[in-house]
Amino acid sequence: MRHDLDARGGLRLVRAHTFTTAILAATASLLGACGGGNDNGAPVPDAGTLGDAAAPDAESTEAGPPAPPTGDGSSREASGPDAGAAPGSGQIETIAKAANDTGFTSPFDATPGPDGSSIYFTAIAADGTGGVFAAGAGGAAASRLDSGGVLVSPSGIAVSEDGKQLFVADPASDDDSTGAYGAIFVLPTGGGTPTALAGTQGTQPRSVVVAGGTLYFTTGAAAAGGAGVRSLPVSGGQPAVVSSGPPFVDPSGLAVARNGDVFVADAIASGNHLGVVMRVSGGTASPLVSDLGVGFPAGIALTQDESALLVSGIDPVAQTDLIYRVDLGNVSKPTTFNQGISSFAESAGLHRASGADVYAWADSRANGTGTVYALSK
Amino acid sequence: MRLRHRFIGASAALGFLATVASANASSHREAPAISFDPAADNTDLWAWVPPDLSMLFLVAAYNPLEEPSGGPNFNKFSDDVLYQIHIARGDQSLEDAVTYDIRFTTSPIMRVDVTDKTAAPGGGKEFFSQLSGQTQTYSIVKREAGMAPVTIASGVPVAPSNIGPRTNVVAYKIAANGYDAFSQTFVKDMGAEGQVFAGPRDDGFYVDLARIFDLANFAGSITTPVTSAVDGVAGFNCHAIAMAIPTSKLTGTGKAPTAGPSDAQTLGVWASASRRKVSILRHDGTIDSDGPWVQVSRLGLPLINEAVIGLQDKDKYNRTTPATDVTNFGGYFLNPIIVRDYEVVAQTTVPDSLKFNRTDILDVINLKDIPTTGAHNFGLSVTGDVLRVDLGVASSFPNGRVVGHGANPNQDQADVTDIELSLLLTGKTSGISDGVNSNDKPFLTQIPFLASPWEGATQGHGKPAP
Repeated sequence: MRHDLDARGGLRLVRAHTFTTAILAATASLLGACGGGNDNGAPVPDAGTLGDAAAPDAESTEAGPPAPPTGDGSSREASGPDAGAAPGSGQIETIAKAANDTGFTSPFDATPGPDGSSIYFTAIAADGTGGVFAAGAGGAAASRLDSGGVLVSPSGIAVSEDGKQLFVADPASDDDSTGAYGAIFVLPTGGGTPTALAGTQGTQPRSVVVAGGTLYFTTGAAAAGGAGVRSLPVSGGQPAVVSSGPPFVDPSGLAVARNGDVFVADAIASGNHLGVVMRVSGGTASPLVSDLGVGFPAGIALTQDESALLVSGIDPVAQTDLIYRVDLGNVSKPTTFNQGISSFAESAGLHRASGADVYAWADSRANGTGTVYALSK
Repeated sequence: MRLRHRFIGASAALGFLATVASANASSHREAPAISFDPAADNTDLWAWVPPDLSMLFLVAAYNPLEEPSGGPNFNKFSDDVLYQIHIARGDQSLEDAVTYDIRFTTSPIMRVDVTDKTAAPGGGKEFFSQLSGQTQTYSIVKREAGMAPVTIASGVPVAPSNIGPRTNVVAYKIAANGYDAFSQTFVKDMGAEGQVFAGPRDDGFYVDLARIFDLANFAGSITTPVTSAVDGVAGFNCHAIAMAIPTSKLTGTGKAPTAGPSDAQTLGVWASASRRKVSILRHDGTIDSDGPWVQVSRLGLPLINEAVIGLQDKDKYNRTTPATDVTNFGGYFLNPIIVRDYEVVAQTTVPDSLKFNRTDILDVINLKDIPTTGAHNFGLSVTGDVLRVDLGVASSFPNGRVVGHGANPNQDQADVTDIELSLLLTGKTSGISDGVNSNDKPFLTQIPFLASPWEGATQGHGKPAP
């Protein structure tokens, strides 16, 4: 496909005096589908596959021909969201369009509900404000869940493990009365007006996940305490520092393992300005794999069996979408997967369902205005 | 932007293709998006080796058409932009063999209590920027494939603006007429890595912008008598990064280049500017920049995006790298639109051999018969918008692009505007000219090569008050 929207300026999110400013709409422009940096020195990981994907434009979710399991070395097979099944290893065989309609543009981040049967995502709504949406079923238009025009640049979204609440990280929704920049907002999955979660105001949060009743989020260098990872109870409270400062430069998406380790996709931390996946263990962050091209936000998800990471990527040379698979047993050799998505160039957020080996992924310009996809075996 | 004759052609192309966006020279304001972002806009690139093959001299210019009197916030490099010089090498890849990352840092303004009647001049209470005490410095990180990045310069001051004689005396503490010598003191010696300069300079490009953007109605065209050409870039400044790099640092062997043409010793040089993908404008006046770096401007050969790439793809061109040029833009190189437009504008018939399948253009870009027949043999897979510089041969455009070294001190070794126009429109390297054949100031014979910037107080473009 052609990307006619690839030639805009940077995404400039203008905060004026009210949350409902329309300036955003007038000034928001996405840096292009041709995307990313210009580093030519980055090695491209060995080409690989996560399986045969159905064409992403296909309305049907019917899978293509079965593909041999590749890339993860795991003997465990995913079997969808069925309770009691062996945890999945993140093999993607189906990429199904979940949302693309005139109600939104530029989807930033997407997450499945806990059992993978629903998808929630953030985007710029048709009225120019930041929006929270639920993907429609059976090809219906996505439904907008937030009201009040509170959000500006909702770059991250997570759903509570009971499926009742959505957490939205918005680094640009400022409280001008207090000068607090950004917050994590909460709203019911059934819809409502987002409210700032106590303790998160002014933290300039970027991406957010929920794990074991705790909310984890990333912050940039401009935030108090600097670039890194913070955590707090889902009910709110004073955020605690999980890790902060170097080697973090621009932490974006994150995923949390059952043992508490946090995996973070940092957009530019490598020496050649490409992305790095950091592993935070015991409060110490260290680079796990470097030189990955990533988009915004740089989505990352841990497979259900925790054998591998999937990273929403951009080929450093071709500047087109791919998904990296980082086998945690062999982190030096990420494989890549781009079947059906290699004509896109604005990869964005990526999350796994908390209780299933299914994923939601967004490309901010796919099919013109951006598309949310469901990824599954 | 010394385009003289050659650029005429190219400029003519530009005129046809970029009428909406801009009116500039080598690559000044050449694409819609970057025309809104001058601090990140590559305007020109020169790179060459002298006859002794000892050094690669390189000048990357940004910030088109700087008005010398444009105060109180005179033009600067942007702290938010990643400026880069990319150098590919050999016939196997257009990926960087060596990259120089240049980042700028402006010192914070010291806040001053405006009610303090005893406060000395200076700090954030001032509106004269040159009294504020604020300075800009830069660092250079050199990256070589397979090696850890090395910081080869840090905290190097940027030459300040040439504002006027009173500023020279009061703010810079130099003689009223001492700016030229003062600016030369900002050349930084980096030891074995060479020398560098960053700061304002005279824009070294020259071209009849006005006529060219009037649909190539320039003096010297086939249909217009050669009369009264006007240098549209005259009197304007730019911001330039100039480097002198020992060629032994670029051959890949650590040794000096071997004399004689070869693909293996030929560099592919280009410059770029990148910004972070997301910016959030805060209520207090600050800007948060997040996300991956996104390239917003690039330049290799003069006038490619300006005169070859169509309006529909110009912004995409700035987002992509030379390695994908054949895939993305090959049709523009082989079938230059300017030639077809020329047929319409000049109401003349141009043979199809000049309109389509112009492999001769690729041969020139790839130095196939330069300096001698069959001297180079770069394949399509390594063809792109890079300035080829054969380290084994004294540079002469299009093998490198030299600042100055023409017949007179204000003339270039080659008028790239005329050469490119002639090549595109006639298949030859001469014959068409925009009539502007020299710069408005003599070039320098040493780094930073471009002439000292025009002075705001006395040399701006204002006219006497009525």
